[in-house]
Amino acid sequence: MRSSENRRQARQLILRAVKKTETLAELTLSEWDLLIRCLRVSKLLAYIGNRLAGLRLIDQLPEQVQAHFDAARQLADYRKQLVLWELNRVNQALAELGEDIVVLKGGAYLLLNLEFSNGRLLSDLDLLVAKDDIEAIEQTLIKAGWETTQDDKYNQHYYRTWMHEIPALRHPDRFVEVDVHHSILPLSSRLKPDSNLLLNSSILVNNRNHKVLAPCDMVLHSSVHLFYDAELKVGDFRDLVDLHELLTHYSVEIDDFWRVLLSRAQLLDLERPLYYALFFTKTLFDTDVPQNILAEYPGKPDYLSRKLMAFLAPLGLMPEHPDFPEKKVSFIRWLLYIRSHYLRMPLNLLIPHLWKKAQMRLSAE
Amino acid sequence: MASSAKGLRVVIGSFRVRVHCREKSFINTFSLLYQDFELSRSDFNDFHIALQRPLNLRRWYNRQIIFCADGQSAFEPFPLSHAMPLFEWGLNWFIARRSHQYLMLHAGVVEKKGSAIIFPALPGSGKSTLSAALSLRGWRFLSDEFGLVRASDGLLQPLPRPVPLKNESIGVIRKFAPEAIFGPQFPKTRKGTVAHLKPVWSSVENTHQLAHPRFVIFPQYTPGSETTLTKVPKHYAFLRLATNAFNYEVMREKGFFLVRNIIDRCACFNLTYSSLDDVCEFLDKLIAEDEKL
Amino acid sequence: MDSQGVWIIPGAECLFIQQWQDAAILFYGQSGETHCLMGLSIELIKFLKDAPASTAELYKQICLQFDVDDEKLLEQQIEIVLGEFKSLGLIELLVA
Repeated sequence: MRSSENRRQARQLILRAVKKTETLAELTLSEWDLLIRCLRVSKLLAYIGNRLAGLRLIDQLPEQVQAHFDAARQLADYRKQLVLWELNRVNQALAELGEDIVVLKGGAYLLLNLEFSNGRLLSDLDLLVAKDDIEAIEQTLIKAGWETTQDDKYNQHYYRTWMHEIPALRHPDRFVEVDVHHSILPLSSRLKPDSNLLLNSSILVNNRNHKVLAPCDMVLHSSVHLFYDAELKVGDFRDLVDLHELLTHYSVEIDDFWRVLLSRAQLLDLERPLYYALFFTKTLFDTDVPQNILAEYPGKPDYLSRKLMAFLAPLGLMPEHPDFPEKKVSFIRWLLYIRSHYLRMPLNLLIPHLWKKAQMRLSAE
Repeated sequence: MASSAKGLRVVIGSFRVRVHCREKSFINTFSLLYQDFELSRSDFNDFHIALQRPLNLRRWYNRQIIFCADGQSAFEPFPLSHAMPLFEWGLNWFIARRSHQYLMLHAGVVEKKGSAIIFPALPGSGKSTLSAALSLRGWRFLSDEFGLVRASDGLLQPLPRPVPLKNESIGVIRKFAPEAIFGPQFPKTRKGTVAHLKPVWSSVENTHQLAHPRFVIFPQYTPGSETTLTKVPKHYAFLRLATNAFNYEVMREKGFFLVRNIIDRCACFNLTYSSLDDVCEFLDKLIAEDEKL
Repeated sequence: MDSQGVWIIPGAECLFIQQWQDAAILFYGQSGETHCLMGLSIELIKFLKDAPASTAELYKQICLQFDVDDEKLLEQQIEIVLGEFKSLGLIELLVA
């Protein structure tokens, strides 16, 4: 088999695992040998394992393959408990402040008991609070024993001046980092979604003091996170799967979901990231996005941007064949990295920041 | 598939490991130490490991080697001549990080007449040397590093591997058992001089046979001391065994119940010793008495 | 004495206790943490695992079960242990 065919086989297997999980019991051992590795790199091993268990297929798999899913699900379970416990401790510490705290991303999916959240390999707890409250919250947590993870003065300054969060906090007895945000995008970015709109629409779960974003806002936040906020890396494929799951879940549960989602995106000034989210989930996973939504999308990126992203993102997002990595892919990821930074900050800020990063890396070596 | 043909596929305990390396010195050492291991005929591998030279000047000058798992380099490079210690160390690291289908105790494990002894790894315990010595006196050697407890039934899964002996221990074991087979000595590793003891054939052969835990013994090598056993309280043994495991926390309540069952069923002792001959004889007697009960 | 509410163990069903002689090992599923307990603290956590109780009720139970010489000291010790349980996140005070 030629290496390009091997690469294609790897991509097809991963997409099949997500789109047609019910057919996986038919795989041969050598296909499993490749798929398990690809799923591990994309942090989807526990997610697919849970789906197979839900379909009652896991017992039909070869014993050795089962062992990998068992181990991954055990680890995901553990991380889930760590994050929920961290949230418990944060709530305990902040109980007296009485401020609203909105749990974002993975933590929120867990609180909502969304099925796909169980296999998500969590690492941090992300919270959204009102900008005016952030200092009191940070101080209270620090008094209760949490410590800042950024001792470096330049990094501290960078965070506070340009970012949408304070440097992560971590309690010395525990492993989970707490990221407290006051906006879902950095202060310096061109898009300026109004955090108050998000906070005001947030909803209570479990009759406790946990809040999460409203469903459409969760989709928008996830889209922003993937197509605007962070630098693209191989783990982002998992985020695209999240989006696929969220869209699939809420389009069934909520009446007139697509129209509501779009008008919310307009209100929050997040049309473009949402466009990419819809475009790529549909392209890769056949997510049930109505065709006319994409065709008539207001503020659709111009033809050239569309072509460029369509070409770059799948190659940059999909995990590679572990035995046949492509040099081209790391170049694509580099391009996408530059793009995300360009979008995040005005160009005159970008150059000094990258230069600082490079300097720090040099002195670290 | 063309790719799977690259490299050697070998059964190590319950794992199937694919190893790819072109370096002659590594291949020679590996062939010696893993001579008795079964080759895997399965198309599925649990670990894919490649040892290769980095793509920079170090390829030729002050030569180095890197450890890749699933196509991604995992650690800082090692000097080329230390490929074997790197392989052993790297495989340990990946087993410990990934194999949560087991509760992974950090311990040496040996077995005789159906009774297994767990020697938890604690600083100064000498569990590697002690496990190695027992394996050379007719005990079945399960591991010097991993007490793999199967989650479904609490039995111990053997993982016999070459035993990395350090510094003085190398001479001690050579003297203790002149017939023992060693790989080359690797000076100036992070842990000093290391040489790998080839695991005895009978232990490698019985790798599919799981063992019942009967004793948890905390060894303490104390020069000049007599061999003595003292009973330790169960809760103390629980805490020492659990806090020392690789993934007790990850296993959550499963971990709690597995450790509880081991501690409940096993006799738990502190062991002070200085002479390997003496301690081997002593533990032989312990097993013989246990059998009578 | 704090008598304004009852102490509960949130998720008491995932609290497991193994006692050997005078010491016990406890695993709490919510925090994922393992604790080692001795003496009075074992009795208190066992009562609370069975049912929520106020500090006064716990005190009464302990007095029924054991011969208590110094009542003042016992009261103090119960409060200390409950305080420790609370800081470990094992128990919460439910105010009616």
